This record gives sequence, structure tokens and C-alpha cells, in this order.
Amino acid sequence: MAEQYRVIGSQKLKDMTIFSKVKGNTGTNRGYSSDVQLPGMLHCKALRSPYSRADILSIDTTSAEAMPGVHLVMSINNYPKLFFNQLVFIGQEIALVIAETEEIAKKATRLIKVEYDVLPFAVEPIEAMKPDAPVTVPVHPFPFLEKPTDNPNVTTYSYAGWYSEPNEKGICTKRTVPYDYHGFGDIEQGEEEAEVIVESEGFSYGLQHASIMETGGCVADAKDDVVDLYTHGYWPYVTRYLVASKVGIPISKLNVINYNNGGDFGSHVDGGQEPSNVGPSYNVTMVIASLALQRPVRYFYTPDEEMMYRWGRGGCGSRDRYGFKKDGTLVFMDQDFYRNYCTGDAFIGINFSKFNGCSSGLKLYAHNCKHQKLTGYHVYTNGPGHTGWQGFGCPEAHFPVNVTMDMAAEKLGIDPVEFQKINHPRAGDHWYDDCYGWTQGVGHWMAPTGMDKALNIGAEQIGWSSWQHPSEKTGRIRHGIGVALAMQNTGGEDLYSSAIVSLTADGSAILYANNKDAGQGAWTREKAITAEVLGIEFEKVQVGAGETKHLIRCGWQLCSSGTLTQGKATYDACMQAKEKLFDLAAPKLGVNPEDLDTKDGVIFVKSDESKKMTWGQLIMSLGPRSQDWDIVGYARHQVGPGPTPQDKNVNFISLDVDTETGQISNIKCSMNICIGKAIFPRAVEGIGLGVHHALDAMVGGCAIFDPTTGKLLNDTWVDYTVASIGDSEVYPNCIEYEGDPTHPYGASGCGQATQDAVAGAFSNALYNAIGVRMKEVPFTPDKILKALGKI
Amino acid sequence: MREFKLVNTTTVDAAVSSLSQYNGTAVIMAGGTDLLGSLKREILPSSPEAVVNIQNIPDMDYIKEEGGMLKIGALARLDDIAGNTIIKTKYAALAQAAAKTASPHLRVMGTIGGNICQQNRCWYFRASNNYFDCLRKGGNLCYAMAGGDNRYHSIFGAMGGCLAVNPSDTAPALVTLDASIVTTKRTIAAEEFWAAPMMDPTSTVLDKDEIVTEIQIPAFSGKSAFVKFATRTSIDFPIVNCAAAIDGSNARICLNAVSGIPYRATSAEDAIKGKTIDEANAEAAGAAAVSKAIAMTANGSNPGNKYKVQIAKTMVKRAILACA
Amino acid sequence: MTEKEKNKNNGGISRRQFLKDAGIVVGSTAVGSAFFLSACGQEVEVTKTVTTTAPGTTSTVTTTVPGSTVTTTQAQTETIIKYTCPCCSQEFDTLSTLKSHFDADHDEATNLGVLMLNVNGVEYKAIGVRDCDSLLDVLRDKLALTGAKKACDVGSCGACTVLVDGKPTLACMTLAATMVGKNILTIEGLANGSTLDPVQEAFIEKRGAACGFCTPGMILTTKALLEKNPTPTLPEIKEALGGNICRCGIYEHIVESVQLASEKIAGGV
Repeated sequence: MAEQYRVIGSQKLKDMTIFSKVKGNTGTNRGYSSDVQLPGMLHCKALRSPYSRADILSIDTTSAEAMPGVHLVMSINNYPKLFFNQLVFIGQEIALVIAETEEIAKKATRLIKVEYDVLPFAVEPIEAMKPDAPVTVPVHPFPFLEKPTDNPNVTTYSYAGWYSEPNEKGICTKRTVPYDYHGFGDIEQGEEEAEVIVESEGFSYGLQHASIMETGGCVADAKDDVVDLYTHGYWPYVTRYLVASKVGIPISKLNVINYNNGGDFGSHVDGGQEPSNVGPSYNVTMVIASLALQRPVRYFYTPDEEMMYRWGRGGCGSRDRYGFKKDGTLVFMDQDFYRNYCTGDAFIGINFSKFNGCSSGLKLYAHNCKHQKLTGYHVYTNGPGHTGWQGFGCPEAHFPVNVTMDMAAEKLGIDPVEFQKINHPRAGDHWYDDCYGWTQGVGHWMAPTGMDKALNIGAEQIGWSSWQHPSEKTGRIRHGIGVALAMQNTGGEDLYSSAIVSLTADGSAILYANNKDAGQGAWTREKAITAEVLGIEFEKVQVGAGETKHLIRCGWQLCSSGTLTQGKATYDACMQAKEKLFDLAAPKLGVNPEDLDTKDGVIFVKSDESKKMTWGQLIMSLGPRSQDWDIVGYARHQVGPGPTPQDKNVNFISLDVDTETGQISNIKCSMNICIGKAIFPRAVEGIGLGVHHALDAMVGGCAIFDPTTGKLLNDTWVDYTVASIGDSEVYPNCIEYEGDPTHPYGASGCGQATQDAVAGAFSNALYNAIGVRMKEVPFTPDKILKALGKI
Repeated sequence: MREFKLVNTTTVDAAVSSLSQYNGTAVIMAGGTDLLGSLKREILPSSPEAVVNIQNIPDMDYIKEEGGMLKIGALARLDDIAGNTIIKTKYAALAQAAAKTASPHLRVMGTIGGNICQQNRCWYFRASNNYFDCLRKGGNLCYAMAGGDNRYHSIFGAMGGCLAVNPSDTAPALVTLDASIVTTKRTIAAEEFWAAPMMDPTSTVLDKDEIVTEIQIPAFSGKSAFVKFATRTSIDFPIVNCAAAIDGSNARICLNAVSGIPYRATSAEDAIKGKTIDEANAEAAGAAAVSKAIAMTANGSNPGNKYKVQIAKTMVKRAILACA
Repeated sequence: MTEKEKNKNNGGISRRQFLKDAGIVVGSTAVGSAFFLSACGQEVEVTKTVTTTAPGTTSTVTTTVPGSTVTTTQAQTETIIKYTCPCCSQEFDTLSTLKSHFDADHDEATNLGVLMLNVNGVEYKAIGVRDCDSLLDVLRDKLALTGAKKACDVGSCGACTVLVDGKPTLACMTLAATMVGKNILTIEGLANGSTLDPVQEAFIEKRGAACGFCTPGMILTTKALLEKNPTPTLPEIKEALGGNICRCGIYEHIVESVQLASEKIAGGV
């Protein structure tokens, strides 16, 4: 039975950050870090590599240093640990000039003399994988996490996880490392049990830019040995730790300030290794510079520079082989998957080849499938800086899985939606969790998923009853519909967050929870939870967040983990504060604490509401001058083994194909987010609407490189076509269901899986329209026309 | 952006005189929406010494019918042209072209004079900091031809050794409507206005001290239409566009973004002139339009531009059918 | 910056270096240049005059060695350095005193690039504006009006939209120097104290902002749209916002915000 909530779940909840956003967030250094202006601020510009691959033989910065207005030039000459003399992509920083103005800094960069040894490169993975390919990245950032192959540019990982010894429920109790592949069960046994085999190969997903509106960068402001760092990103405490250790200052002297982000989606986590593993971190260098110069220093990328980094996706090859029973039951899944890794992942300084397993669609189907194997490969190329970009590898890995499942449905003669209903994940399934398995990750199983409901709602919305096989379609314009599933971690085991809540005499509360809000509604969600638990109005809660020096460590707002970690910590802190309230009030009201409740700042006896006292009366009674005292709750919530909610959605796409031109139009997406309970529904819908920025990759928004130099050719938003308002329609639905035990309100997270199912659903819709399996994202007119035999 | 001197002018004569004075090292700026992008990215080996601002020259943004002609001042905004009732009714191709240009903000800021004078597009030519010193900029090589990615480039071969395309949406409409471009020195038929001179980044026949002042379109009593093929529904330059103007047995059809200058498809015109406008005839005209196409072949990651030939053929057909 | 400023660092030894290293000829005057950075960050070139007096003509120094009756008289050369203000020709003994005078007394100097801009009904004086500076950079960096955002900087995203004489204009593709005499409205000018514009209120109610970076541009474009067309249809709304990119992708919520704004304005709110 659904509970009635007073605050959470309301469509009328107003995002607490929006009031300043509609005014441009001006006039404050507590807004976007790129808007920060400080007196005496210096500016930094970079000299960047013009070559895809070159070694620096010498670098002479004396003329730049001598220019009036230049304060500091940083390069390998004076900061050998921060810069690299092996350049591996166009745009890699060679030197940084800090000067009075941007213009002076830019002019000074032109005075730096560099001698290069220009070397052969490979920017396309297919080139890098050739036996005679040049070595693209001579020094891999984290070789101990990799296992080499016989091609120096291709690696697999040394920390794969094989899950074994399932108990009677099918939950694996052991994780064996190291292995060459992820998985569980016994593929050979699966091959014997299967009655129908489906195979596919050759899927690719072009490099896609994490084009958010605000470019990356920071302002570092040192006063003596204490530094304020205005930056960007989802995990300020990781940034604090990594930057402080790289700079060599105590963590306690670094304050990471981050109020608003102009977008993020995992791309600007900026943990001190950003924006690439092979360049100086702007956070680290600017803190060093500011400490040395004792002036604030600003280094924000221009949009041009931003296009040299923050690339994700890059699926560049796959091989899938699945086995089924004739009734559609999935028996085994075996996948090889290749990703264009460019020069390595920029993510908390840890190479993400370790986590390739999380980026697999295989985890979607552990319900029936008891034998799974994933072998993942990274291909190093001289492409631009790589990052996590909403999905963190899942969109390109889910793609072949979602299409192969669609192929299987066809081969088995089962309607694709009914087929998904047979095999989709649901409560009790083993959770194949290698990604954030910091410990062993074996004790996880799925909480309810709501996917059945999502499949029904989405099918109805997209008009699935009108489904026709492509062979029945005629006419110049062909309509197609397709479905695909997505599932990804909502953080994982061991993640924790904290919250402190302070109840004040006037019946209001302050929640201290420095969990990032980049527009996904995190602070408002926490505010709503606080108001709900404490029984006060939403507007009576204030959220304190933004600077690490004021607040104890809070968890990452990454991986859709905010609701799970921070949400529970906030809930627990509020419950503790309420307990203290009742413990203190009970004797004064002559009852036991469990007899009490509170509403709108009034504590009352449940069985006799006339017996009551306000929070203020209680607080005033605590001491002779106690009107400013507060009642405090504190909690730390850590995710442990057990049920896991995951970030899940069901995606239906419909589209029209113009068979004369190859143009895809009338794109509609029914995006069904299996949220359990939406605490801030409007924000959940907003996240679902993020499908727009996945759809632009389907029709064109991917990197194009010049074959001769490796230079990115479409390096502005004119030529790199980010989604505009009229390009598609997205209908987000919050799919609510009961029974998720991982959160007091049954809410699971959402966010990072937004793009995961889009390519699969889109390709399946294209197949439904024109009868050809399209395997290469983007699905541009030339590919469609070729598939149709028109060229 | 390298620094320059901004010269504000309020008369055409003053603008011309400034251009002469700077002797080839100054450029004019109307809306600035093409110029400033190029200057910011420093795409050329050298930057202008001066930018001559003609935005404030009064009485140059008119749209009027006079003397049996439609006359449009060179500073008329694209947004005004798109919304003008006379143009929408009688010179529909031009209104539709203006309406499909760029984005709403750029249509408010951009002028027709600027639109027809904009530089050609090619990502080698337009790379920032003159990364590719290509033929158009006085270098030695057309990178798009020499092993580069030419998927958006000309399907009718190189002009002046260069494969870049003219990206204007209004240009083909003006060609089909038999417009004349009036400058401070002469009146030029639209068809003669564009050029792809060797080793020269400009896209027209204008001298360095010559300014477009007016566009004249003879009274047109037929049907005209414009179609555009682009990735997105807004903002994008055309991958291919096409205008058609059919009046009785006269037909003028012009493609753009397929060549260094707007491509008047005379073969298509011959194929449709005097015939019924129907699917079959329009299809045949489309095929005729691309009969001389020289598509770039695929090579490695470069898919080539054969698909553009198919699209161009279809755009011609659809522009013709829209004139039925 | 003047023409010659651009060329001053062409190879070879700069004039500054020359002066520094040049031997000073006794009894003569050498004229050279010196540079300082003005308060607005511009490099200002001034004339530096170095005069030395011939021995015996101006000053002598008399020394007496302690415990001795010997007195020696020595003629001293005297070196006098003067810095001349380029605006008023006043002379100063040190570069720093000239800089202080310059910063205080010559902010109207035309080579400082002072630009008067009317923004949100206020006459602003922007100092140190170069001809090539965009309106966006001047608003943000000189006038601290950071509401207009820089996202693509090439006119293809609308995040920098402001209204110039009521028309939506991309500030990144507009030279600040061409904006003299225009009425510029930025997002900061919409609210009247704590009273928000109905468009702002609608965006709040319908959550038309996620990260909020595109929001000022969206709101101002909406304002211009509703002034021209108070009851736009859905296709008209999408067309008008066609140049405003939202990377969070919440377009549908933005459309709902515009529709609500239209109702609010029509309802006289």
C-alpha cells in the first residue's frame, strides 16, 4: 500500500538551486566556478602539442618568462613531475603561462620555443590494432592494472573477476582474481544446454564528446599556505585528497569549493588527474602556482580546448555469442568487447580498464542466464583525452547486447517486448558486480526492478501494438520501433556518505551534506528527505553544502549513488536527531519517547495531541541561555552487501527513415526510469530527458579525425552536432513500484544509465524500419543509404 | 582573436574609402556572424589590420518593390527577409532559404549581404590557428583532396584546386530567382557573383574595396521553393540544399554546398522545362542534375561523399515538386 | 595597443634591453622607452629620459679622511632619470609614481579603451576594452555581469544570449565596441529587486533549469519571443529556441516553462 508522503514525491517540489539560476547566478563566487572573479586574479594559458605523437627534445621558455606581465611559466623544465616529454595527442599541454591577463598569457605562449621529434601515430583504433602499428602511448598510466596482449596498443585487464560457488539462491559467494575475463558459471556447460545460438559481431560506437555547457578549469586562491580551490566536479573530497597529495600540502589546508556545476554527467570529476592521464592537472598546477605567487590564479579551458578532452564512448569492435532455450530462456552469454581508450581514462587517476566489466550489458540478464563471460580490451590510440561520460562505458557495451537480444527475439519468433519480459533482471537475481567491488562484491542480489511495469508502460506509449516486421513495410518513409534495456550500478559496495542535521529553536533545520548538485536535483532531494523525516515544511530546511572545509566528507555524487548513499545518510541523521528530540522531550511531557511524534516543529503525544511542546520550548528548557542551541543528528551510511537497487531503465524508440536520403527524423523516445519511488519526480524526469544528448550521437555527433595528422576536424559545436530542441522528443516516465529494501522510501538512483539503452533501442528501431542491422554509431545518411543499396 | 582597429562608418563611401586606405588589409563587418567566428579561431595566416563596421549605415536594410523589381538592401536581416509577406508570397525560395539559415539569433543578427559573402566551408580551411595551411590560404595542398576526410565536400570536383563548398542557403535561391548583386562598382548577375579563386580565402568576385549594397530580383510570377538537408533541425549549415524557380516553361534550379560555388543545375532545368511537375519528371531532373558529379571515394575512415550525390538528386526532385 | 606595440618584440634586442645595457655617455641625454602595466591591464609605453651631467658642472663631493688634514674634492657625475606621462607630459622621477598618476588621472585616455555601455538601464564604464573584445567578454570580465555564459563561443549554442534593443543577440559574436548607444538587457536586468519576471517564475515552477548554464539564454530568448508572439504554438516555441542548446537535455521542461510563462503574461501576472 502506497504511503502518503507530505513532501517527497511531489511534482510541486521546487529545486532549491533554481532561484539563483534564473538570475544567472551573478555577483557571487558561490555559483559556477567559471564565474568566480577575485581581486588580483592572474590568468593561465597553455601551450599545447600540435602533433598526435611527438617527443619533446628541448623547451626554452626564457622569452615567455621575460614578457612583461608574465609571472610564471611552468613546464617540464621546472616541474618535471607534472609534465610529460612524450606527447600522445594533439592538445596535450606542454607548458603553462600565468600572467596578468589572458591576452598576455596567450602571447607569451607563442614565445616558447619547442623542438619536437615528430613520430608516427594512430588515431583510429583499427589502425592501432594492426600488427605493424606504431606504439601510440609508450607509457601506459597504470600498467599494473593491465594485462598486455601481443599488440602493444591493446590490453586486457589484470583484475577481472570470476564469480563462483553460487549458493542455493544462485548468489555467488566467491570472487576469484586474477582472470582474463569477467563472468560466472561455465560457458561450456551453457553451450551444451542451449538449443538456439545467436551470434553477432562488429559493433562500434564513435567517440562522443561529453559536451557540457561549462568548460573545465579552476581558480586557485592561496593565502599563505591555505588554499581555496574553486573547481568543478562530483567528488570534492577525492579532489581534495589527490590534489593535496600531488601538491604536497596537508589535506587540511586545501578547501575545495564547488557550488554549482554547469553540467557534469561524470565527465568533469576533476579528481586531480584531470583532464587526462597524460597532462598536468589544472587543479594541481594552479594550486602550486597560487601558493608560489600568493595571488589567485584562474585556468579555465576555452571551448576549443575543451574539445581536446572529455571524450567517451569509442566502442570499436565486439563479438557476441548467446545461447537460448527454444522458449526464449537465456542460457549463456559470451562477449568480447573492444573500446577505443585513447590515451587512457582520466578518472580519479585510476585506469578504468579495471572496471571494464561494469561497462557490460551482460549484467542485464542474470535472471535466467547462469553462464556469462566477458572479455574486455582497451585499444590505446592518439585520440583526445578520454573520460567517463554518463554511462562510463556502458552505452557502447550495452549496444551489442541489446541488438543481439533483438536478433535473438527474431530468430526465436518471439515479440521483442515479450522476449524482454522472459529474461529481464528482477528481484533476487545475482548482481554481477565487478566494477565497484572494492572488496569482493559477491554478496549482492537485485532488489525489485519494476522492469515489467516499465515494459508495459513504454510499449503503450510508443505504440508497440502497431509493430510490424520490417519485411511488411513499404513506402518512401519507413517507420520503426525498437526496445532495449539498461542497468548500471548505483554506486556500489563500500561507498559511504555522511550527514549532519541541526534542529533549531524556530522549528527549522539545517542539513549539512556536501553532496554535489550539478543540476540533477541532489540538494533538493536531501532537503525533501529532511523535511519529510522531521515533519516540517520543505521551506523550513536549509542545505549547507559547497565547501569541504565546512563539512565532513560526503560521498561521490557519481554513479547514480546519491539517493542510495547520501539519501540514506540524511535519513539516518534526521532520525537520530528526532530520537534525541523525543528523548529530551519525553520526561518533560511525562511519556516515553516512543509515544511522541513531531509536526511543523511541535512535539506532541500521539494519543493526546493537546500534550505538546514546540522545539523552541524544548530547546529553551535545556539551559539558562539556550535559545541558540540546537539538537544535532549525525549519520554515516555505508553500502554493504545485500540487495542492490541499480540504476535501470527501459527505452523505447520510434523513428522514421527517409529511404531516398537516409535521413532519420521524427525521433521519439519513451524513457522509463525504474526509480522505485521518485523523491524529486521532476528531477528524475529531467534526468530521463538527458536521452536527448545520447540521441545526437545516433545521427551524427561523433568525433571525426583527419587521417593524415590525427587532428579533430569537428571541434566546434557547429560541426560537432549537439542535440537542439527540435531534433527529437523524449517522454520520461518515473516507474514506481514497491519492495525495494535498500532505501527507506524504496527509492533507487538514476542518472548514469540514461544513455545505456539508447543505441540498442535506436538500432533496433532502424532494423524495424528498414530491415538492416545497423551496427556502427553514428547512423549517418551514408550508412543508411548503403544499407538500403542506394549507393 | 588578434587585435585590429575597428573603423565605424556611417556611409558607404566612407566604408569604401577605408577599405581602399587599408589596401587589402581591412575587411568589412555587417552582422559579423561569419567574420568573427573566423577571426576568433585565427583560421588564416594573417589577420586584418582593420575591421570596417558597416552596421550603422542607415537605409540599407530595406525590402521594397520598385521599378518592376524586388530590391533588398544588403544590410537587410535574414529574419526580416524570412518574415516578409511579399517575399514569402512571390519569392518563396528566398524566404524559405532565409528561414532555414542557421538559428533564430543568427537570423536576427545576420544580413543577406553577409550571407552571400561568407567564406566557403571546409574543416581544413576553417581549422583554428591556421593548422592546415591549405591551398585556399596560399599553401600548397588541398588537404581534403590529399588523403583527408572529404565527406562534406564538393561532389563536382575541385575549383581552383580546392574542394571546399559554398555554404550559403540564400545563394541558390538568388540564382534561381535570377537576382543581380549591386555593388559600389557594378551590378553582377547572381550566377557570376561567386568564385573560388585559387589561393584566395574569399568566395566571391568582389574586389578588396568593393561592397555589396543591394540585391535586385526581377518580378517573378511563378512558383519557387527551397529545400535543405542537414543533420539537425536548426543551426546547421547545409549538407546539400537546393532552390528551384519554375515559371511556365522556364525553370531555374540551383544546388549549393555541393561545389565551390552555387551549382546551377542546367541539365536538370533542361529535363523539367515545360514538362508536368510530377514524381517521374522531377526524378529524372534530379538524376540529370548530378550527371556530372565526381564523388569522392571512401578511404579508410573517410566515407567519401557519394551519399551526397544521392541526396542532391533527391533535393532537386523535391525542390521541383514543391513548385507544383 | 598601437601598431608599433605589436612589432616591438620582433627578434633582436628590445629597446628596453638596449637601454638597460647601454652605457650612458657622460654629459649627454639618452631617450628611450619604459613600460608599465596600467590598472586595467594595458601595457603603456612612456618616454624615459636619462641625463648625465659632465664632471664639475653640477656637483662636487668633499671628503675628509678621519684623522687626516687632507681634503679632497671630487666632481661627481649625476644621472637624472625622468619618466614622461604620454597623456599630459608631466615628468616623474620613478615609473611607479608615473603609473599611480596615470591610473588615477587618465582613465579617459582613448588608448585605454573606455567604452560606455547601457546595460539594464545603467550606464557602465568599461575600461581597457579593445576593439576586438566581444560583448560577452566585456560583460563578464569588465562589468562582472557573469549571467551571460560562454559555452561554445562561436555563436552556435545561445548561452550568451542578451537582448539588444529588444532583439536576441549572441554576445559572443558581437563586438562590444559596436554596442555604444544600444540598450542591452542581460539576465541580471530582468528581476526588479525581489520581484521576478514572469518568465523567471515560470522556469522556477516548471523546473526549466537543471544545471542552469543555458538558462539565462533560454529565458531571454523566451522573453523576446513572448513579446513578439504572446501565444506561441509548440512548433513556434521550438523554432524560437532552435539556437539555444541545453546539454542536460531538459528541452521538454523548458517548453513547459515557456508555455506557463505565456499563460502568466497573458493573465496579466
